[in-house]
Amino acid sequence: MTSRTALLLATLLPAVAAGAVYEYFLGHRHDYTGHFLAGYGGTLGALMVWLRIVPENRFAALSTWSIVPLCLACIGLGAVFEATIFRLAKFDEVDFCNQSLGAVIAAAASLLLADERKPPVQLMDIGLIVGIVFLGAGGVYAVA
Amino acid sequence: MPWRRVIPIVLLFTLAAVLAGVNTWFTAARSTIPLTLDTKVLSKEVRREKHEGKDDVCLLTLASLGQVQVDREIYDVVAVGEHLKKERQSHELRHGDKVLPLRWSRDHQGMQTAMPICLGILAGLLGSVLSASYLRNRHPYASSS
Repeated sequence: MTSRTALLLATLLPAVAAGAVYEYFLGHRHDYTGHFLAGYGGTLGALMVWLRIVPENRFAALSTWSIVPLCLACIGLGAVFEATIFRLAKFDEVDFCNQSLGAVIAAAASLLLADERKPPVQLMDIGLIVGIVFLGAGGVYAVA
Repeated sequence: MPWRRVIPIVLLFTLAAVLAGVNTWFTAARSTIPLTLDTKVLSKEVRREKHEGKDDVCLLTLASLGQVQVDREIYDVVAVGEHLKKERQSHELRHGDKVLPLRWSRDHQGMQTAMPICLGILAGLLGSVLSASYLRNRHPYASSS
């Protein structure tokens, strides 16, 4: 299996499976699925941009150790969004947990690229595109 | 054992487990079943979300707890000025001189199943990340295209 196929599988399958689980068991609330997918897509995109710009000579040190802090930063940014521009009735703790769970799964998928050597940048570009697609799908489900 | 890879894996799984637990707790707390109540209802308020009647936020202001979000079934029968009384984990809520049988919401029932499955999916993903790192150590990015 090539690295590209492995990355595609790692970024697509778990998120699609978890999204399907949300829809099957919590299908009466599509916005829960939407928050999960948006949290996943946004964090995956941010991590791919970060891994793309990390210099090759520092990739070994930065790639593994930076993913968890960046995931936490994305969760924090999600909390700010939930408390401000997406605050309709109140800060919804369940929405926050769903989008944060998506962020954690995105961070787990990104760990696949953490290595001693920097992988080809095309891999990060693929991850970024996948992230944008999931972010868009999350937006659609959130208002569905 | 590549500890520098194991540590983020453990941290991410722990974080996900906490989020799944908190998610399940909040949907449970909105039924009031896990709560102990012995307080008075000071006010009621419904706030609209994106889909009116479907994801409305039903809020009670209680003398002892402040503002709490409750399931629609509870909100509809409780009146301002009534005294609420229940034991922790009890499925009966006394409001005034009446008793409301409590049940878990669809949200909570869904979370109880969905969250463990999501954690299982994450565990599978993290397991593949770990095994991929072992394989990559043997065969670095030579065939990455």
